[in-house]
Amino acid sequence: MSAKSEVLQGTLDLMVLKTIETLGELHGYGIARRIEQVAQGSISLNQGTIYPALVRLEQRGWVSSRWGLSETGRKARYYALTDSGREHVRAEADTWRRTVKLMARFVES
Amino acid sequence: MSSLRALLIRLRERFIRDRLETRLDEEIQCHVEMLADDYVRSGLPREEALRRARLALGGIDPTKEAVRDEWSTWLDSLWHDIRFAGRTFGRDWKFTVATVLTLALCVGATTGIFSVVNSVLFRPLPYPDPERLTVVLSTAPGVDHGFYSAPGVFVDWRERTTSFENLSGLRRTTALWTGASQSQELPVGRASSSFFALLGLSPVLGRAFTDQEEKSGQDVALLDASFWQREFGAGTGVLNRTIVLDDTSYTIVGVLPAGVCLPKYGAVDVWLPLAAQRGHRGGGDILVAGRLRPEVTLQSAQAEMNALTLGIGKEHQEDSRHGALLMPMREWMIGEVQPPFLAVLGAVVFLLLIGCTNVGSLLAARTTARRRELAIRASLGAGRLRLVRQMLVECLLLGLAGGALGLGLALAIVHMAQRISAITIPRLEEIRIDAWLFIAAAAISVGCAVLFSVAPALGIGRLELRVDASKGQQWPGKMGGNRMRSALVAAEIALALVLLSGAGLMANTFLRLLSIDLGFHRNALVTVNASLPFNQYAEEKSLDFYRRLAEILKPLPGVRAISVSDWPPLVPVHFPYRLTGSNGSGRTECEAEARHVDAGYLRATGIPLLAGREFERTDDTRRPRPVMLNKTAARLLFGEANPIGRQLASNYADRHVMEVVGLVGEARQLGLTETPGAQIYVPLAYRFANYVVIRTDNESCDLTNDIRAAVQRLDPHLPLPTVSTADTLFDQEVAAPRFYLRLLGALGLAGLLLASIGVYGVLAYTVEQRTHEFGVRMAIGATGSQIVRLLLGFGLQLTLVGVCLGLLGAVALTRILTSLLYEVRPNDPLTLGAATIGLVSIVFLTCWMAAWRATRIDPLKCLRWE
Repeated sequence: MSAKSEVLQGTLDLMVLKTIETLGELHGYGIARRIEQVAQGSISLNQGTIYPALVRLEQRGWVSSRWGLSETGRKARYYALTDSGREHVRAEADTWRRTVKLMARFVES
Repeated sequence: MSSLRALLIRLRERFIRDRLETRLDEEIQCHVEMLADDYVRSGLPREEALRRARLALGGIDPTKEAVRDEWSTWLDSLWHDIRFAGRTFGRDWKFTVATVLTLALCVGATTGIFSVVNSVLFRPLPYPDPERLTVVLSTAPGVDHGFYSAPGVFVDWRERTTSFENLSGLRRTTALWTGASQSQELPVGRASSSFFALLGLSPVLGRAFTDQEEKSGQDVALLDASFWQREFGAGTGVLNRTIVLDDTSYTIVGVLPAGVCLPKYGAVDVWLPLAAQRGHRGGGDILVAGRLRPEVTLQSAQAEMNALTLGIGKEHQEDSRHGALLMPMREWMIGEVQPPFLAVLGAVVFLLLIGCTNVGSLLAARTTARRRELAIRASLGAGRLRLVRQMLVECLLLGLAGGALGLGLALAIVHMAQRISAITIPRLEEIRIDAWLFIAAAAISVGCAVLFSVAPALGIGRLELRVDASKGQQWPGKMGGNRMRSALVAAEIALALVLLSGAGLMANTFLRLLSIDLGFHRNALVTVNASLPFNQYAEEKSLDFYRRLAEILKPLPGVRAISVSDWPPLVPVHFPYRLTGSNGSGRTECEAEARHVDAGYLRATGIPLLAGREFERTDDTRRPRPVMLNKTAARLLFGEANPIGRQLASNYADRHVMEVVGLVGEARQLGLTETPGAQIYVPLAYRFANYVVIRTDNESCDLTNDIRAAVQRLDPHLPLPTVSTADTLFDQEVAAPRFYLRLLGALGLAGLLLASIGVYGVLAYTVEQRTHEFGVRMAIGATGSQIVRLLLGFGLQLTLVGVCLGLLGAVALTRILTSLLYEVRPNDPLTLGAATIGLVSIVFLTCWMAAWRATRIDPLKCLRWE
């Protein structure tokens, strides 16, 4: 088994949201790079998988997007959190913390 | 359904997919480039950097596929909602049809009628600065409306007023056009030179009149563009040609845009200069219209015109009784139709309310009945938003279907309105469907649907889920568990009763109009007018012409009696004679409407001769001049004494002494609803004759061809004569009430139908909801009739509440119909009672039909069901 784990089902959305929350309005490439950075190589992420996630999040109204110019002068699509998205991140993060705590207790014991 | 699906797929492909694909392409491309840029910076060659970047992405095409999957779940779930809605509608087709038709009826009727009323009543006139356009009418004491003015008064007004920047006169007449192969009688307008500028119109060809041409009445003419196209093929060579009207040649100087005129006044074919004669006073037929100066208000202009008219009256004795009345042009145009149109508008708003209530109550019942389904879906993991979306999709589909049908209905209504001949609707050509009104009506109806179907779905909280999913059936504590729905139905009944009362009042009016005693026999009474040109046929010649015509027609089979007159019955032309007589105590006076008639007139029209004799041919030259009086005139002049042989004097023209030779019955000469006052019949000698009146054997007797031949024989230059019947005139008189009766009747019936559907829906729903309870009741010995009584009681409760509210509404609102009613008060108890009884019986019948279904419940099946 590889040291790098696959992205756990359902966690990518939260990672993307959290990334946008931390860094502000950002393009897809930036989001992918940031996730890789934070994970410090502990997950193997096909950068392409964040795009379906972004579509999903946009459909649910948690992020909005617009065209903008990147720092290198390329036309890129920028994603930002909506108000309901911000609320959702907070709630989901809480749930996640509780789950982690619970799982930790099981695994440690 | 399959075509709808195909349409949706195509829409998706065209409008959403293309845009999404482009966006996806660019976004992925950008990602790869940015990643590659980073690799290049770390020292890789460009080619290799791009390859690595694509690899890191996980491949361009797999990424795109993954994104496309996300799209399709979103679109497909919407598609799924639509298909699911379609299936439930198909299963519940009675509900679907009822809802869609109700929506269509409401949206269509409201949009159509609102569009018509809006164009006619509310939109500004299509002329520059329409709010400054003003009509100046003449008034006289004892006449309750303004009328057209004398030419001399118009000339004085125009010279003296400072309130108007443009004051124009307009006169409508007819003229015989002899240039064409067959002589034609044309509608002709005579207008001031400033009239066209008043409406902001300029000729499409040539020029308008000059002031000089107007004042001196020169022989120049302007053609209406439609006449120009019809008769001259729109050729430009028409300028400076001549057109012969009533034997005078006019030079054509220009062509005006088609249909130029004040809408109420009607379009004409040819315009001639007005040539108002200063000496022509004491009444006339000139419509005076003007444009107020910007700083002048209607009130101050009215004050000025009052003072001017008073001054004119002092200078000219003939005009001394007249006043002036200023009125905004729009008000003058729409005056007559305003009250009935507002009434119709009110009725249609009521219909919309009933319809919305109905749709709301149908959908609320349906959603409540689907609680179980919704609860199960929710417990299987459907989010509340998901359920609400399902309800929304269903509402919007219903709204779409109803709206589409409604738009068709609205178009049909507007189309029909433009072809109505029963009433004269001003500004008809401006009528068009108002898109905003349609959107508003559709939004109100669909909004109602959404409100009543989504709200209950929102109400399904998690706690209820277990209960609803397991039970499905509720045990309402008492009858009509849903108070809101009962209230809605009661409101519907109330609204329907108001509509029915309005229709009932119109029906009552119409019956009264039909039963009026005219004082003559209108059946089989034919009138003939030959349009004699005035300049060729002076008084004696016209009388001679019509007498010869009568001589020719008299021996024809089918002609029972024949005579000549100035005007036939039911034509509102006033000839007031001021008469002086004497009774035992002194001099008496009265004003009597005069008709000038020839020998045999009473026999031809069927006006009864009560005493004395009818006119004879020898009366032409008899002195004192013989006259006939009706009973009212005789009583006013001579009291109860026998009037035959008495003498009286008149103020009219020759001021001859007259002698009464006959006493006749009261006849409605001036119109159907004009109660006859004092009337006098004077021999026709020395007056213009206009009509031959013929009493035929029966109504089917058609003399038209014989009459045409006879007129041609007497004067081959004349146009075809106008052959009409008193029946036709009568029909024209009752056309407007009949039209409004049909309109309000249709709205009333539609309201009744919708309200019945509403009542039936609520009762049927109650029956369904309480099937189990009824089953138990019947199992322990309740009979079917007891169940029916229970349900009927509930229905009657609703009806009673509705009727009470409805009667209050009817008493308050039917007043708006006052101007349409004849000899019926707006609160006529008989009519309101009849409407109530009608409504209650229909509603009762509906209740009974719904209740009867309850007796079909099989107790065993019902108990086993749970």
